[in-house]
Amino acid sequence: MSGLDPGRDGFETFVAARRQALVRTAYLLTGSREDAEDLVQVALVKAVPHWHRIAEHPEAYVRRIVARESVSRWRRRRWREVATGDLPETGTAPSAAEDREVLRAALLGLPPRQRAVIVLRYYEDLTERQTAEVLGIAVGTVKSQARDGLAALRRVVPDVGAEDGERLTTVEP
Amino acid sequence: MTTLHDRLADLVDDLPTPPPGDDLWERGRRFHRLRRGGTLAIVATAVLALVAIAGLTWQRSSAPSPAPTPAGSPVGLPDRFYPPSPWLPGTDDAGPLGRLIAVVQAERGGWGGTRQGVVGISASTGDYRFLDLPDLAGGAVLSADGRHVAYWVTGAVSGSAHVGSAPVVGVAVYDTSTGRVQRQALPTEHGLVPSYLAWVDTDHVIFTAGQWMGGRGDSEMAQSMSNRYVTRVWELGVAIRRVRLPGEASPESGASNAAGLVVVPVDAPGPAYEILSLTHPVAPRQVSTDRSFVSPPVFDRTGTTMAMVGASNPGRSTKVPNSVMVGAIPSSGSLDTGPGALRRVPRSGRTFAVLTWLPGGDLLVSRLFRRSFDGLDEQGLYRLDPATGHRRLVSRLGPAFVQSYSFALDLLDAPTVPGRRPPSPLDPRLVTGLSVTTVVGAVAGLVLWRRRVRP
Repeated sequence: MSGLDPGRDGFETFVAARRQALVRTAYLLTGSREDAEDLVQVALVKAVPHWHRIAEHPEAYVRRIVARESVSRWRRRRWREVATGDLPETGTAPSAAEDREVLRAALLGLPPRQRAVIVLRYYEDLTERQTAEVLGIAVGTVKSQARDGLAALRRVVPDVGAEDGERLTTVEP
Repeated sequence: MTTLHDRLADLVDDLPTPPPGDDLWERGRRFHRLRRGGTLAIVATAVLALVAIAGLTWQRSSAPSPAPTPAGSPVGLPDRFYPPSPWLPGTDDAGPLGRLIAVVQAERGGWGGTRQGVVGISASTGDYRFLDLPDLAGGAVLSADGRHVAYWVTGAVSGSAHVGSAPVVGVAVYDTSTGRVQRQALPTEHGLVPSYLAWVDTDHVIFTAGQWMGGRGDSEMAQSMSNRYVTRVWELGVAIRRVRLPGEASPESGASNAAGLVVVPVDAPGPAYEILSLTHPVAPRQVSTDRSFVSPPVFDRTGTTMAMVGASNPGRSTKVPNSVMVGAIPSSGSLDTGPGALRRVPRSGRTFAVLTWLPGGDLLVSRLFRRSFDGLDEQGLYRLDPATGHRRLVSRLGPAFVQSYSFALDLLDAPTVPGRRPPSPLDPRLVTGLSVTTVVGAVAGLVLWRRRVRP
């Protein structure tokens, strides 16, 4: 969304239109619906003082707060989650529901920055440069984090291929 | 073919829509006000702290308003002298003081620590200021008119310098009004050994120095010995000449006096001295006494009478303080006998030194003013009638010793004026440290505050 009213009306219009999408992104980052809604609320509240400045293109600013806040929260509460980098492997062919759970667990098993890179690159479809700007890191770091994150996911989801290195696809049997 | 995007989207498809409500706009405004309020409070506190530091620095650096000079006289003798702060300004920054009433040895502060310095006290305003004396090696002596300061200077030697402090190579004279310095360096291989420095009169400086026998790299014995002590008289702006004193000794005294007299010990049975003039064609006189000089003898303007601090009777203790002795100078013979023999001034005990004879016949002496339990007894300058012993306090020196002062002897008869307490500037290292700490603390506080404040 862009070109919104720089006042309260524009803000509330944006919230009504984009809150659900932001919660979905936040859910992928946190793995918890409650945490995701809280994360989005915090991001929107933080955006209010700057709304007059970002009203033309608020999505990028709010998304940046969501992504960075998710990493900060993990650092403050890292004892709750332990990102091992070694993800559980499955031995038998999973059902669709099991497949979703495996992917969900695999995603949550990634370190928070890798997780954020994967979500922004392959769910939000941001470019490497856009992802770097959102997270405040170098493009090279985005590339290495994406590579490592995909490799970790591939270990858990063995049927996933990486033909072109840009889109990660699954080959249906 | 299912992409990762599709599979991730599949994970969130069944997420319920979050409930409406939550007045996010008002919450955002409150969050902004809270954050801004805390930021302003931290910044305001830091600014106030810096202003307080600046204010305190300015206040401590400011001197009180000038004391009025006495009517009919451009100079005055302060009724009190104060210990100078190590952080007083110097004449290089604040300008020359002009005519001085006194100079005093004092520690001078610097970024790397303290060093020995010389503070001048203005005879007209009572201001205190460090004298920036180039190549100062020590021994600052003020001329009787308060217009020049003589001191030892450091410099380059022809051989290896004596181990220790910077080598002394000569003397210099500083003009207290212009700041101009005249310098006399002597040839020396390892450095000079300063022995004596004084003003004969306002145009002549007398100094005695030996030569170190060894420098860095020489034997320890050579480095610890000195010889070839020579006394010289320097007529300012004219010439320097060697003075041959009896036995090549250095003077015992030669405080500035109109007669240009100096007292030199001579090699004879018992304490014996030669009194001779360096500026007047007066025949030298050899005298003897059974007393030891506790403080250098001071001659009156006619050169016929002397005063000193010593034991009242021969053989008695020569401790300090002691009594004032006055007597006429015979053409020769003993100072202890005859009509003009040395006699004790009544009620003159507890005297440390005789500074000068004042016009009218009184003496100006330094005497104990007040005892202190911490050992820092306070001395005072007194006018003393040598005939009756009547004395009157004219100035307090504080806990400093009179030996650390050099006075403009011709100005000590000036009217007494209220002494100005000099400013006591803060240590600039402390000011800088406090300021930096304040700024760093404010920045850290801001960072912590802005992190801790949550919507």
